[in-house]
Amino acid sequence: MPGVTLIDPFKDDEDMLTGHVVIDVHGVQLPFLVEIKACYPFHFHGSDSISFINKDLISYDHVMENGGICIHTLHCPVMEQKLQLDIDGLKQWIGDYYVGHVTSAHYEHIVVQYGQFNETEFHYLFTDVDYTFNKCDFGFIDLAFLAQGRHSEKAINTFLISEFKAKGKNAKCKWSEYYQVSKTGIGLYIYIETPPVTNKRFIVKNWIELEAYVNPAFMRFLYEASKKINKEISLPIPLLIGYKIPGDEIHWQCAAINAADFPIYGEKVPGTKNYTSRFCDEEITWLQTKNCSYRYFFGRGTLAKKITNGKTLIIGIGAIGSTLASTLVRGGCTDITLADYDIKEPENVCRAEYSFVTGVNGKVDDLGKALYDISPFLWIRTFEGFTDYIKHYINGGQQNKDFQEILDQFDLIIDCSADNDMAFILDSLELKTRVINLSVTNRARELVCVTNPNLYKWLTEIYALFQQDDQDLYNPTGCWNPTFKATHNDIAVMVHHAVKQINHSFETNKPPGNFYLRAEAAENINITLHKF
Amino acid sequence: MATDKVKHLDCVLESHKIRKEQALLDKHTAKRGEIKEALEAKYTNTLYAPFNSGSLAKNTAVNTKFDIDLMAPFKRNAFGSSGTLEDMYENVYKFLYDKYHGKEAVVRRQKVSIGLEFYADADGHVVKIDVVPGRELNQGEYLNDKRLNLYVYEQFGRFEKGADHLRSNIHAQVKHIRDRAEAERDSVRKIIRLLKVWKIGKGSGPKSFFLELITIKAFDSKTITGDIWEKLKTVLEYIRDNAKTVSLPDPGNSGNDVADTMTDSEKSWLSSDMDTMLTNIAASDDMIKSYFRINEKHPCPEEKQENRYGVKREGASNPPANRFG
Repeated sequence: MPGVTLIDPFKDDEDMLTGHVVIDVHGVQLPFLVEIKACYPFHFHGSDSISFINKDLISYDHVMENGGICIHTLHCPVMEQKLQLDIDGLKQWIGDYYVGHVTSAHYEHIVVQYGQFNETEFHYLFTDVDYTFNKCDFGFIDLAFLAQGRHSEKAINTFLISEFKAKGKNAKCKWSEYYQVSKTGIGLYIYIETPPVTNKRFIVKNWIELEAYVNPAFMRFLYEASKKINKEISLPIPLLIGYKIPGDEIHWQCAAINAADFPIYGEKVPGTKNYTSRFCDEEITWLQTKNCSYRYFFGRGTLAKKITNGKTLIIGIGAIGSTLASTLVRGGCTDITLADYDIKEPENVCRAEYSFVTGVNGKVDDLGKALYDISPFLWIRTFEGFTDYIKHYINGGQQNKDFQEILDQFDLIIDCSADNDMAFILDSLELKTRVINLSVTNRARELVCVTNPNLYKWLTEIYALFQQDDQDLYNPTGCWNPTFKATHNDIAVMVHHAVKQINHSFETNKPPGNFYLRAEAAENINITLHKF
Repeated sequence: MATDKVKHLDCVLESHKIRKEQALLDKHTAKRGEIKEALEAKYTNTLYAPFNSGSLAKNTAVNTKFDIDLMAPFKRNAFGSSGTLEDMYENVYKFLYDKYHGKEAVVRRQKVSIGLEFYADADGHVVKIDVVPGRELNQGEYLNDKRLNLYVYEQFGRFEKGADHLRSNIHAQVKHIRDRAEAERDSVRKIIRLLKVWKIGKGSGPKSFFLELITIKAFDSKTITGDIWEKLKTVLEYIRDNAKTVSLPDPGNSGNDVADTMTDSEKSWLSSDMDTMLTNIAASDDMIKSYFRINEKHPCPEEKQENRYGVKREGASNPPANRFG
């Protein structure tokens, strides 16, 4: 292979081959330890199964702490070709970063070797706060336990950072109230502004190295905290260490403190009777943190801001409404009101966003809980008696004005109740807010989307275009209330298609308009959109 | 039996005649007079005579939305020698807000106007009037050139928020539309009114001035003959084919292009809306009833007759029960 000289022949080293090579790129020669896993040329857990290691290069970009060069090459199942691709990738890195000193525009977090505490992984999730941290701000934090998981036979505990007890002001993290309910632990924090690193990118390993980043006041605080905190606590006391990263953001790393054994000691100040706190010469156990703020949580994809930023009322949370609600929450909506008088029963589960495990339950409570489980930024209000109330009190007079005022406070109302009375009432209230009505025909063959104004008329006119079979309904033994036939897939595909169309309208500032979707089964399934 | 499109459109126009809502019109006129007097009293020496500039003034109004605009032409130095258009807009807004908001109306800022929506009276009537503040270009010139600058509170079309807008002669704009509408009552006027019915039924759409000008442009560009449906269809086709590229010189200032009041996307949607409407009506004559709705408050004699004897009209009149969620 041109430009590659074998120094030590490869040998079988447990489950991998290891050897030494020198790579020559335009006269620049660099030695590498090469490790090849048994699965080569396939990837291992999404990463290349070959490593090129040179510890002298760790100050360069895209080099891991063990000196491994980060190369990401293309998939290739043929070993010779894959090896050539990997060597070419390594040469590219040498040319760009070793010779060319290219600086990556994309910020990468500092390199941290995460550890465990009592053989358990700990993850701390943080989000934005309405507070500006100043250098050397420190204090306590409140934690909320989220869940215990398992991975590779190890237990994983996940906590949320609930609140920073900042000087003179408690800075609440912007989780929704649902996630703020219980304080299940405490921790400490200090904002040090610059990342605590050696070689530009590798986090410090020893408590002593951290001392340069903190001030005596913090050391005193740490000493006082060591006295105050219950030594019986078996969980780690997380010390969050914050620093600035690009984009005017703060990132937090977490050092584990054993409640019974703070990593500090007292040192007598020469010539006085006073003592000063110093860090011990001990290795730091770093625990995992994750910025889980709204922009990262929904970073991979959100619906149009006009949908996500507003208050949405969903009326009717059966198969359509619950699928819609779930899609909206996963799409980034944070303020949703659910209205439905109905109860969830086992037979609802097969095609709606409900679970068997919660048993028989009010739909608004059941779905509300399921939605809270999805997003930590969600605020849900529920209104079980909404349709009863509005039908009872609507009178064409002042009460209508009150309803108008209440409903116009929403930015979007989506009626999935398939209740013609509701369609009539919502239309006749002449709301300023956009009202969208979604319903399906039997077998979810058509999904109809109509909007105000003239919503009720459009509903009548569009449904008049369909040939519907009134007999082919699902009518289980002993049931007096037949319903439509359709699978979760039949319904979800139509609802998602409709949401995509509505979202597109909002993204392009065009009113969603009236349309129906039709799924036709011929040789293939075709879904067509018919606009009005 | 398929819908007779000509008969239907005639009924639409008849049911939307202004005179059928004379009581409501009178209330609008009275309220407009009251606002005019209030403005004149407040801005005694800095305001020229306010005038009407909406559809009513242009003879193109329909009775489901009167579209009453009251232009308030201010002197150049009305808000100080260095006063801005924004100062003018905000000053008038504050005056109207303090006088009416929460007492008898809701007052809100709109694109270039200030909207007043009065609370419903005992008859359930709601009066809506838009006040449009404008300022002459140079001190004392308005009486000669009639030109005014407007303030753009909220972005629309290609006009950015905060931009100076129009520098136009609003009197000339009104006169241009009114003259054509009066001279061609069976063509230009009827088609403009039908397009307004379409827009109100849809709940959104281009500014009325855009619809008025593009209709006139269609009549000037094509030979448009036949019955009311044939004329309407030709204009709809013209809008479909030309909305994205048409230039609509402002009759009050040929340097302005009224087509700029819409973004390229909005023009594209307008074209697409026309295409959809024409396609659906071609597929079923009955669809014309959905796009151009009769004002049910004032049904035509035949419709009344049907209702009186309980004759079931063709097609369903309510959504079906087998609609599912």
